[in-house]
Amino acid sequence: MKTINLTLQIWRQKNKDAPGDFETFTLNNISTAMSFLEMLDLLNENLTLQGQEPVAFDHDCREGVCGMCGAMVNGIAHGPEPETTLCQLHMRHFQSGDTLVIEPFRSRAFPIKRDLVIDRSALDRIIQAGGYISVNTGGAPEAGTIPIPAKTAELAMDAAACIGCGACVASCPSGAAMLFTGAKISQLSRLPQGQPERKERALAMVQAMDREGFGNCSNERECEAVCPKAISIRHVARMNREYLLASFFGE
Amino acid sequence: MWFVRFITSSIGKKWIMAVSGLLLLFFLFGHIAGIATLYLGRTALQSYAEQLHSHMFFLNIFRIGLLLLCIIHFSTGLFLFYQNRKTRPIPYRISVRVATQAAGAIPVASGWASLPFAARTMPYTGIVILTFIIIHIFGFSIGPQDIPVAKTVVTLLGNPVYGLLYIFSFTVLAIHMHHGIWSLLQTLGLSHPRYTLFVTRMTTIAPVFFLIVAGGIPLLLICGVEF
Ligand code: HEM
Ligand code: FES
Repeated sequence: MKTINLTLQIWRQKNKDAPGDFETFTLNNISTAMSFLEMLDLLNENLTLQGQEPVAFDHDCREGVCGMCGAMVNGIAHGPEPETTLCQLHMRHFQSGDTLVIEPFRSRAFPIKRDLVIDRSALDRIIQAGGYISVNTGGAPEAGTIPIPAKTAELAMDAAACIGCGACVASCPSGAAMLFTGAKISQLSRLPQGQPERKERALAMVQAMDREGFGNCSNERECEAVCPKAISIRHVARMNREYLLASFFGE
Repeated sequence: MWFVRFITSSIGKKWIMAVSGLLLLFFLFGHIAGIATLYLGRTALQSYAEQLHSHMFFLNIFRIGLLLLCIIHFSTGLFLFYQNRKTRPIPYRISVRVATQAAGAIPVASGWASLPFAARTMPYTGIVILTFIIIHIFGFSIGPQDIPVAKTVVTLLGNPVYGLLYIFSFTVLAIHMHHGIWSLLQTLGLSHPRYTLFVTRMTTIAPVFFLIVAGGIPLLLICGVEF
């Protein structure tokens, strides 16, 4: 089994208000078959045995679908591999002797809870503002009652693939959340179920996004380049279009 | 009021940048078409200028509109720059631009390709352009009134310092345009895979065309060409 040794510089911060700083660790005998999070597990086991506080980091599924994990690794959200979440990044992509600088996703709208753990509830509040469709309860409707062309469903799914990890915000030079918000607006605007609330949704979600203090997109394309789900900025264009139409021609 | 809510929103401010930028772009190409008459000879430029000045009323309305556009574009851009700076109070120790690599090597999801350098420097290229515009206006519009304007152009731009300053400013403007053209389409929501390649090419072709036509004038004058 191939192993590597790394120097890790990790951001440590006790809570939202405490000042933070980098702490340096050396970690040896890391199997290259490990994921990045397993490497952090190994670090934390060592720290626990030494009676030190383990590094806090978020995770859940560890298979790239939940969107809980994420950190900046040497300046790139979710590390250097394209279309990969941190949990799916494997240590074979690193060389023995490398130094890795590991920082939390930074944004004014994402307070740091501890070390690498951030509070992304700002994204939840954007979804709560309009990222849904309203369905009256009752008997479950027959599947396939509303015909949707397969191509349309696929295009909507491209946007729906967003896992809400926040890498787009973390990497945006303008600190914008437009890829995240755009993906949801775009997804629902493509589907028949999204039509009744289409204009309201665009207005409400953009308003919520602005309220959270995110920045204004400058179309630098960083977000789509780091997105683990390769969500295209075409969805941002679609959001812009939805918002313009809703503003100028809304009820 | 809906319009106030719209233009104070993030997308509304971007819309202001896009629309004012587009109008400035239209002006620029109209202006260059007029100036290019110099290639036909000094008298052609002089008669174009006299033609223009025979409609002083409309010219002045046009000028006021242009000034307003510049002020709107500049101040909104400055405000966006200021707002965006505040979104990340603690900067990263290491920050790598991935779209830098994506421009050529890794195709990004949308298929867009442009110089990331141009996107990153928008506020700075903008300030250079503003400075240039002021110098330009003082040189020509508020320049000597008793000398024919075509003569002023030839004398001023034939001066190597002045001419090179113009060529430098045009280059900066071309870079600003390179990002601006596709950025404004994206902001206006005009994005479709069918036109991506065409628009991507235009973001380079249009600024280069501008650079050749506009930059050619001081370049030829410095080289001693008599128009
Ligand atoms: C007065 C000097 C100028 C300054 C300070 C300036 C500044 C800026 C800034 C900061 C942006 C980026 C906004 C953002 O993406 O956040 C921008 C975009 C743009 N500029 Fe300028 N600019 C100037 C002159 C011009 C001129 C003369 C033109 C036309 C030839 C122009 C056309 C554009 C276009 C088309 C955009 C893209 C708008 C968008 O992002 O959708 N600018 N400018
Ligand atoms: S832990 Fe679920 S996406 Fe990484």
